[in-house]
Amino acid sequence: MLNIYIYDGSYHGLLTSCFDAWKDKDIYSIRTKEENKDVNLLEKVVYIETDNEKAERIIKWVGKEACYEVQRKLYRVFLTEHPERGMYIFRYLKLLNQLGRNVENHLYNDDVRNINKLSRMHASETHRLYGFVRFEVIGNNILYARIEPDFNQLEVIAPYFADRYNGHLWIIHDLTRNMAAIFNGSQYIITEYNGNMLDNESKTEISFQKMWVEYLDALTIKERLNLDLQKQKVPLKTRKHLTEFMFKSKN
Amino acid sequence: MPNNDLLRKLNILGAAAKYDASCASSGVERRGSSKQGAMGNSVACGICHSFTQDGRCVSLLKVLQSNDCVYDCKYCVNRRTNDVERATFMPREIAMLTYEFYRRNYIEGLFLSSAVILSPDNTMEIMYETLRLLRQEFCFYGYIHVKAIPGADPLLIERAGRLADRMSVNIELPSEASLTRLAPQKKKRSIFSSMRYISGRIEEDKSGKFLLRDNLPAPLGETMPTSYGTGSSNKRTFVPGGQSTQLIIGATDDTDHDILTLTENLYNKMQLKRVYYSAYVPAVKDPSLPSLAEPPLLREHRLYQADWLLRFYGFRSSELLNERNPNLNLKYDPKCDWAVRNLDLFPVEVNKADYDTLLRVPGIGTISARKIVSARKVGSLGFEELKKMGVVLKRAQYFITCRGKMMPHIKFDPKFIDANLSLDKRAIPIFSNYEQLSLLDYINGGDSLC
Ligand code: SF4
Repeated sequence: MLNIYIYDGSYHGLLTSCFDAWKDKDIYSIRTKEENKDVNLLEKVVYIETDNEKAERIIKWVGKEACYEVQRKLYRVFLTEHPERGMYIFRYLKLLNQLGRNVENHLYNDDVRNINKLSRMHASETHRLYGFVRFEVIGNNILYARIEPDFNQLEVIAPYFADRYNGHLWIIHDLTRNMAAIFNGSQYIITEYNGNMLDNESKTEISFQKMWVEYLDALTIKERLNLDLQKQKVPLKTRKHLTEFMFKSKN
Repeated sequence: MPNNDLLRKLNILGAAAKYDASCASSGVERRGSSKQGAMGNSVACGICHSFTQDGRCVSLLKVLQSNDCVYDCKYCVNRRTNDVERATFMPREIAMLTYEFYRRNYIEGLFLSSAVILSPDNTMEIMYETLRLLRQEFCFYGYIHVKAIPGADPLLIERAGRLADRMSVNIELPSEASLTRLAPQKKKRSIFSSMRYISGRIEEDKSGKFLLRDNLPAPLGETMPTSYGTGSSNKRTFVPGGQSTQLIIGATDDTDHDILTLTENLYNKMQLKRVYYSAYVPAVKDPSLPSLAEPPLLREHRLYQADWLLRFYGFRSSELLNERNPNLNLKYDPKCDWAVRNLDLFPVEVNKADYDTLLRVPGIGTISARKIVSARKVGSLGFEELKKMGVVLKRAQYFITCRGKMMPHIKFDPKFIDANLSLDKRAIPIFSNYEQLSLLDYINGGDSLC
């Protein structure tokens, strides 16, 4: 039999699955309901009920056995929403159990590589968003930004922007996932969100956008023009919500 | 509410600032403040916010306070005798623009420079007022880089420096002879004495011996940042992000050897954080200037590579260049060039060589070297393992052995190596960006910077 563990899509749910499946030799996959489309006859499905205590035990154990960095890495892998993330994390935990802290030196082991690669991809998108989230000032001094990242990022960028714009109001809207982080000046929540906030932009807002766009033009050294390099640094698919690339087509 | 005049000024004074290569927002880690109305923080590794069409990173709002210069430096578009449109920002205009751009997350902060308005003192005072407004009235906690105008009263420089994260004095021309010829009003003495003053004050500040020389209040009022400077317990009052400078490449006949020796001294004796290189763009015509068809970008790139070797790879400038060999090889990068000239030190055994030796292997950067040192603790490494770990062997393969063997089909022979390295297209780059040491390059584990 091939055992498939189904969890509720939360990180704690995934870790509960790892906990419950720990001794299972026939484990085949750990998935969310949505990811579990067609089941064949050889597969046996186990539904997991999320247990925060079990999940927290694993997280603590990872911190003790390895370090905070590894905790973060595994969480980032979860946030990539990669279809194999469940088993990647499961196998990494097994390896951690077997090798202890040394696991981090096994850089050419496939399980370690998968975790490192996905968490690195996630982290680099996070870092890019720090610089490339674009707010527009709407309504009564609310900062509103739209993003469509490859991975789930709201959880990790919200604390950063909360610190940066402490005391200000902002909304970061993930259009891909219909989610938003909403900050009231001191605390943020992450919630489902479908609103459209950008119906009419004020004159002031548009004039600042225009200044930004013209400023970047002025800053370009024409003798060094290098659109390939620009494309390499800001790939086309990431330009959709960047004022400097969309302003002209919009106005 | 912005208006057309502001837009005009931004266009002129943004364009006038474009030849300054530095746009980095790095070196200071500072949390946001909970003080009413405050805004901003700073991240030590720096953050890129956009890239202009020339592929350069934009991190800061880089503008001049004014381009209305009383000096007449021959290479500069803003020189007195050049016929360009002039503009001067009011301090409040820059403070407001910075605030509004920052709020929309266009930028990490401000890089403020200026032409010499009436005198160095006068200029420095106006720039100080801009920073004061920004820090005190706008309660801005983001990054500020300010230019010190050579020859300005040290007290004025100091006041600005207490509000800024980084300060710089541009040397621009690498030798005294070039200065006299092309920038007659600039004196080497005043440039270096300003630099020395700044680095002296930074040292005092670091060792806790910094005494205020006037009674001005602390820049951010009573909430003087909890972690102003790198490291949380490390309170710093004077340019916590250190000092930098810029050299123009190709406007004079100074050699790479001259330039790199100067650079090395600046790092070692003046504790500079960064030296920037700016390929000379022939924007002005003058009989004393070379008529270049295009800016020497490849040379600029090689200098940045050599600069990295000095700062992060333990090289000395004398190992890379000397009187008889005064210019960097344009054919391949300076580390390759050094390795080919020192083949007796190679090949090195990946499983044995220490970290510093690994760093000297072409194609192996800090990330790969660290990976190797870490992975060989748990098993011996062959070429397969290296590849799996993401160590790029393209250039390294000529200079290493694994378990005593060279890679198959690779000959350890100077002619073979030279011929193959010269074939490597990537050695002639589409200029990667050295202005901002980007965290991405670290995270991605790429060795693009080696
Ligand atoms: S001092 Fe010289 S380099 Fe600076 S703006 Fe004036 S003319 Fe240009």
